[in-house]
Amino acid sequence: MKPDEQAFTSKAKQYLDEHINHMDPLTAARLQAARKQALESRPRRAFGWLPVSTFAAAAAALIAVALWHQGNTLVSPQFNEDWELLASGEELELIEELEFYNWLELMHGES
Amino acid sequence: MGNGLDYCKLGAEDHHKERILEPSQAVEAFLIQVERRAFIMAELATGNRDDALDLVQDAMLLLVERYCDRDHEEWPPLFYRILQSRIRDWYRRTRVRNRFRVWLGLSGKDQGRERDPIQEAVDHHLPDSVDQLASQVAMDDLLSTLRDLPLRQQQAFLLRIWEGLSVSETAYAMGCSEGSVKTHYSRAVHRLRERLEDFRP
Repeated sequence: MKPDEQAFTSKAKQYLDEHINHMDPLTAARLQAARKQALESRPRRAFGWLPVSTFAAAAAALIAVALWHQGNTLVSPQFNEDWELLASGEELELIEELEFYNWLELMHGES
Repeated sequence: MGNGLDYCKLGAEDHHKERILEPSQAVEAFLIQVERRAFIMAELATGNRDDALDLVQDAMLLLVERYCDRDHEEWPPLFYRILQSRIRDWYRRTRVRNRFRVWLGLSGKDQGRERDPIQEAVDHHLPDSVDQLASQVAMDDLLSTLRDLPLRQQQAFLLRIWEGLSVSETAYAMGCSEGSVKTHYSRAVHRLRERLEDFRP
């Protein structure tokens, strides 16, 4: 920066600094209120020291354990059978009429 | 971040460093340091005190909500990026509103309503001496000339000279290239020096 430009900008800065030092009290108070309001909006987290990825990993692990647990103990054999049927890609019509075919098989066995 | 800048590498002013304070105290100390300058920048850009206060408050809210966990050195460019972006939005909205006013034939009708009698009241804190009066006149000239500058020149000048941001930080705050900052700044200085005789060395 050239010396005369430096002198000019220093003077401008000095005037601007003076200007804010003489800010009217009402505006200063409104700015202070705005700042307080902004600071009150600061997010407060109980576990702020834990990164988000920790929560994500914990949630994923919880879901995995729950699914594994369901798969081993809680789910009935009927559910597994139904799931296999749905996943097998059979025609929907056959699945819908499964009861009829069961009944037919039963009747055929009796006869 | 935008413009591919890495602000951890940028040298910010020492007065922005508040490492020994608690996070909430540090962000408060930062806002105390910048709020008045930010307000004047917004007021010069908008020409409206209430709008300027709203813009500064928005910038403060967003900084606290989203970026208070960032490194303190990043706050100045982030804060001013938010503020400058809000000012540009304000310009766009005002332009559209004015267009509608003209279209609806309302231009000029509402202007009387916008006048603030408090702002227009006579200032009884008159300067005590000729020097003070001269100083007041010079200050008014400076503010008036700054107000007349195109927005980008005004932003570049104030962010570089007053806020002490580097060219890179100013470019980030303004959302433009470093080359543009240099151009806007240079034009601003040229224009101000041309018009402000009292500031000549």
